[in-house]
Amino acid sequence: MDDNFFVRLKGRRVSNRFVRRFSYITSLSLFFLFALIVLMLSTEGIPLIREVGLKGVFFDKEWLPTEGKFGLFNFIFASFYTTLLALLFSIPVSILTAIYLSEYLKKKVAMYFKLIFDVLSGVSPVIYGFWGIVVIVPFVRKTIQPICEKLFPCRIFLSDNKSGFSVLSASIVLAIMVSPLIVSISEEVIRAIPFEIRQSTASLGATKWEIIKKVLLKRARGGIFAAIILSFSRSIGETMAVLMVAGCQIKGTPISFFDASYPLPALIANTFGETMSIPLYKSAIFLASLVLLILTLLGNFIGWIILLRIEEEQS
Amino acid sequence: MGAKCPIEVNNLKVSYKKEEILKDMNLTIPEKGITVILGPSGCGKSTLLKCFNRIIELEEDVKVEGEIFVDKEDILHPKTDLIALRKKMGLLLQKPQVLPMSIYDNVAFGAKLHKKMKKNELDELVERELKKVNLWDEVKERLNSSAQSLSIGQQQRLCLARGLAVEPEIILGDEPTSALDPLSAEIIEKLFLSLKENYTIILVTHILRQAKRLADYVAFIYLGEVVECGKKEEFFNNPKDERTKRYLSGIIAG
Amino acid sequence: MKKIEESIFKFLMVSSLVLLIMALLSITIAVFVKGYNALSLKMIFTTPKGGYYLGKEGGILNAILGSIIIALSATILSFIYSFFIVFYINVYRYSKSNFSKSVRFLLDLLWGIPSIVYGAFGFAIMLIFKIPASMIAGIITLSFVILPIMARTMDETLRMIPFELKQVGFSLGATRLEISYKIMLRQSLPGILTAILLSFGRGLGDAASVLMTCSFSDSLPTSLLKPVATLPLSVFFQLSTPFKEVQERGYASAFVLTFLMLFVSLIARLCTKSLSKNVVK
Repeated sequence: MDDNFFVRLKGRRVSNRFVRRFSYITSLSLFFLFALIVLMLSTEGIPLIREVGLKGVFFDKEWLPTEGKFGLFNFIFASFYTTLLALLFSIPVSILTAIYLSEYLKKKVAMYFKLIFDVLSGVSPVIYGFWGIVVIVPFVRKTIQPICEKLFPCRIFLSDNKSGFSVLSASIVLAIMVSPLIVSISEEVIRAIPFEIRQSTASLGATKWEIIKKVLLKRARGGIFAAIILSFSRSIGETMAVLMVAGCQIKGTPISFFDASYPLPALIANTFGETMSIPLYKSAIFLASLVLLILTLLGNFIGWIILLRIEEEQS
Repeated sequence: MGAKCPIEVNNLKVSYKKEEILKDMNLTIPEKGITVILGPSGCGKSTLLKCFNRIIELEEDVKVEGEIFVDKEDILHPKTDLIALRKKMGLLLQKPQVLPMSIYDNVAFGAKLHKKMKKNELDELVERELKKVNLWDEVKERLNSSAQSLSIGQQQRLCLARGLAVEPEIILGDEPTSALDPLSAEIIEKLFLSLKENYTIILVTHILRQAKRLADYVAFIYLGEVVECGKKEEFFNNPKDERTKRYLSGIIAG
Repeated sequence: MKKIEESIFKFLMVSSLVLLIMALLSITIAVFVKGYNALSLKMIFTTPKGGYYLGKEGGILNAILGSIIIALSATILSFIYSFFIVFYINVYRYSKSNFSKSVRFLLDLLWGIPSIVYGAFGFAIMLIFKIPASMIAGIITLSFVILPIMARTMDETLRMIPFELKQVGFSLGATRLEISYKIMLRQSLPGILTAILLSFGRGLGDAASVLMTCSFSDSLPTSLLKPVATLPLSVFFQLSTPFKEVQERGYASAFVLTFLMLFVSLIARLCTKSLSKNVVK
């Protein structure tokens, strides 16, 4: 080995070390970024809690910023209402689809369907909002609402709001938005169940449906649960589509499917510009963001932990 | 560059996640010629091989203790220049692993790292190394096509040429024929025989017959220990250890 | 009895699939039918006259250009950022090391943060440094939104690279830097391109973050420090007006936006194939 080699090696080492350090710092900065997000929203949001108190923020129903009342209850309630209703629509449809894709279709055919879901779930949220406005809202207004009012005249189906911009419209749009996510995770979890397990149950004389019902769903329930939690996170943070079809009026707690709904993200998006001048108003918007951050982080945390554990079990 | 580097392994211990893979290993590998490390699968022979160029440390949770002397230097010492060490040893894996580039670039890759070379020097080098492994005539028309397009046997020869191009003194082979068809395996074996004059070759295998065909020296490893080592004739005709006898007669399955 | 149960469920499964496909199809149809009628050369090549919310003349050129510039810049920024992270956790560290795992997990968490929260974060920073709603604020915020998507998608392709390939690099005496850009980069090129295009598509479509950070404008994007128009917001604002002519601009924006996103995603899939010539399988 000549000197040339060692001279050259020295240079190679220097650049390698430089990139190593730089990349290390870059990777660490990611943790810093995360901490910064939490910190910024907290410092901006906490003053409101100090002023009005936890109870005043989270359980007060009145939102009258000009009078110093910043109850977020109705918005948080609307968020959960809309999201849970969306999941109620989406879960059965998505899981049935996932089972069909993984158990009844060939892998290649299923791939094509997943590709369609994949591509369309990447489409902008405002496009879903657009679809909500031109298709779902009129449908709710002209068809679903009148029928429901006639058939089931109880509080949950009756509302003064006849516009179609409502909890129900928002939930339907959200359900369609998150379904691809539930389908793709559930399908993967079900498909990953080893062939031997199906085979051994089949050799006991079980039909395909019995295997699905008694073995596969039981084994896949962790993954399916994770998918549901993740899509809960996704839909509670969804802003634009909901903002476009939910009605977004400050009119008390939404009870009926046809009441207008005003979820947290929509509140943030709608009011941030007006808040600059009133310090507490500003604080309220950041507090709303913080609540949203915590809710979505919690959901994601649980969901990913479950999925990671499943992945580790398999390998 | 004369190759005079007997390798001496002293008290080598390797553990993976607290599980001992090699326990207190002692071994001397003579220079030049082919030393075959023989043993049933899972006995730790690949692990031993990967200690020589310290590739073993790439995996996490691996702990290596002991000494390995190459050229009278302890390569397990923390101050060892890993790049110089690895340049000194060419490694051939079980399954040929070509680099994601053309045939030409595969051969030139290592050499270009270590030395600034002109285009015509590189051309010469590529031709020379490909000729060494008898691949030149088969690929000279398509040096710029992807290495992926070669047959698996050709790929393994390409990997050998790629290793030779960095001018190593020692060649490590980790069951280099086990993924190949019999014909390609034979070609590789012949190559080893032709290379042994100039290089110290260490081959890991669990195939008895291959060991008989290729070896000058044999070391038999069983359950993480060196059971017996010595010259080929002595080892096969007059094994001393009971376990060696049982392995040779096929009682310990490979 | 068992048979009947199975057929009922099978029927339900097929209808679920059909329902989902129909819904997604109806989105595409709604966008293309409404948008196609609103589309004209004038629509694409002029800016709105007399205010985007009220003015009945003009087109959406401001939004098209704005969106492309913002999404492109954010993609470049987040690509550079994630490039170092991803190679660090896969080459300089063992892919399965605890450090790499925690970075990966953090990225997954960041992915889950809604874009409106990133918007609020960007907005908070703008308040501190007294930066007005501007293109630069939008670009930076958007690059945080797409960072986890970019980094995780790239990471997945690097993680799938066989360990032996790195081993070969090391045994030839390459440094980790050389292994990164001479071997791993080549091997993962198709995957990296997919990650870039995917993130670019997401950047084009994201609205909540730009709503809070770069506002909207009638004019063409000229300065980093001025508000800028984007397609998603063009859809959002102009659909909510009572004027039919303005709504048309919203429809056209929806059409262009969807077309761009589908196009990008199509390119992503095509490029992946043509770039994998040298890739080792």
